Amino acid sequence: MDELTLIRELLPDAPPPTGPVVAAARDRLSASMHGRPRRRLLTAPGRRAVLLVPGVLAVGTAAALVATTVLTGGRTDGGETPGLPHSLIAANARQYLLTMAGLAGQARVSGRYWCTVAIQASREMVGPNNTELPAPWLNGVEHPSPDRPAGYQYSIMKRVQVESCLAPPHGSWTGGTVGGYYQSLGIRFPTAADAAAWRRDGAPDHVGAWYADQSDSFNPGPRMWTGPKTGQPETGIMPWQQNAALPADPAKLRAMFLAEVPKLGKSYLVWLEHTNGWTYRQAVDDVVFSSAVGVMGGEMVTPAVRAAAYRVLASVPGIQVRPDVRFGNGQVGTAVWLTSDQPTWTLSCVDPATSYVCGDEEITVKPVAGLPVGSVLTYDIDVSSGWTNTGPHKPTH
Amino acid sequence: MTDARVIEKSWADPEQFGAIFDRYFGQIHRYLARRVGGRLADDLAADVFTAAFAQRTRYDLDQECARPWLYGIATNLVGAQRRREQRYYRALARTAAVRPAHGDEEERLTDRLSAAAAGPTLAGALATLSPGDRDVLLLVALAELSYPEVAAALGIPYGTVCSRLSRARRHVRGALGDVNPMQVKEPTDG
Repeated sequence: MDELTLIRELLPDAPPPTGPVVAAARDRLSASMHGRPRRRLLTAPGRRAVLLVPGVLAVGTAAALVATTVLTGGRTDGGETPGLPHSLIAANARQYLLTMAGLAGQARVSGRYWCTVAIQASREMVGPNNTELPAPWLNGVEHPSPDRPAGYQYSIMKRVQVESCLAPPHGSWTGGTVGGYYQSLGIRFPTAADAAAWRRDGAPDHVGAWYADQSDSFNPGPRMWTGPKTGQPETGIMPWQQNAALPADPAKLRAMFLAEVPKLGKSYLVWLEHTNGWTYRQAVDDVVFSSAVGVMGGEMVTPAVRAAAYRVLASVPGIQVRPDVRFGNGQVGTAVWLTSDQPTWTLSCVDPATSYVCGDEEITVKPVAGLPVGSVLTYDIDVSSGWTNTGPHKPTH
Repeated sequence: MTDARVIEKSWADPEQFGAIFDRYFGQIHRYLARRVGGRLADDLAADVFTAAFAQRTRYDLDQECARPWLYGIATNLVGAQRRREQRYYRALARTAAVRPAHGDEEERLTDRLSAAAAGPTLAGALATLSPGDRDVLLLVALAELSYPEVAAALGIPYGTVCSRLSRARRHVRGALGDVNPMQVKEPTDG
């Protein structure tokens, strides 16, 4: 059973609304139809509910990327990216990806398990009384306020380490995670300035979580065994079990990606044009880009298919590539991305030594909640990965 | 008649919008109830439709089905209730292990037992997801929207849906412990 099924069971389907509930809602709608005053809004005083309606988002200007200082100093997390001032020029970006395609095609599957150690981190903002500000400061990164939230004192990065070993289907095993470990690594600071603000605040050893009556510690937590699970996530657009159906012909693979486009609907494409200034072609490119990266990151697809995905990616107009980017946890890799007018971009990390996708990182490219451009909001980066014949060691107690 | 046609007609004849309410109120309410609990869902579901009505003239008539639009509004309204959503998860985690199973299908029962065992950890994992990642994950898991529909509902690029869903699923998988060893068999050596 996969995690989506578990979520559906944890949050079980609710009974239909009762007659009085439906009647009351209908009455409120009817009051709106006839111009009668509405009752209270559910949003907190002074806050406005953000409603997603095509065409209501402001069209921003092109993001002006600025280089930020590479951070040094204890307990910081490299949470600020050193900017993305220069991608490779287009021709070189395409050539780089074609080189990666060659590398991907030569990859050897030389073990029974694909094992990774990944570090995931997410940014929180700390306010008065050593308590995190409610996450709605990020209330949908697509609708952020550029202004610093009231009470803000400093930022933290909460980090966890996820170790997992995958095994492909064979025999009665349908494929999935054989086992691994999960461990909180404790809080780190995105910048030296955040660490200084924390010290001015009395250097507490924990901060109160906004989402629960508990605290997040600066110290690592226990390393907990996570058992086997079948039902791995899909590879790009394809479920795990259908990886074998992915074509190794770039043209056919691209056609498979393009089959997703009609499902987006014309209104979505119009919305993208209004809000991002994207043309239809750019929206199509986004689908091709993300599908190709998904396949490139699929450990269980064949080397030939991964190579084809790189070739498809190399054909995407405007593809951006920058080698030697230091990602949030200090890992150096090649960043691949498509630009947009969104306030944040997601950079995919490629390991140039192996051609495998090593994760992604979300950064601000416009001011968000008072954070400078280039601030890392989340990252999920492999610090090691590869095929091995040695599976994870399950603890004996 | 398509949703788009109904909404277009409601521009001049507001009462027509009642058909959208009739078609979707139940499923929007159920989605909200699963995210924030039934009592708050009663209020929020009503707000979704009054908000949708107020915005109906901005609806893109090329979008025949209004479902993603309504789920987008519902999700954004949940966004203003994050603390309540977290409290609901915590309460659910405490009661997950004792909630009785409904139905007698073996697979369903096994799923429920697994979810009950994983309840506290799973609820914690949901609570610690970033809001954007959680919205995508729950629209896929609970509302069963397709990736393009999630993109349209939240107003984010398709690629962002993919990356957020991937990150969220990885986070949840990582957080879950060995919740149901009976459900899976490790590959044997040799």
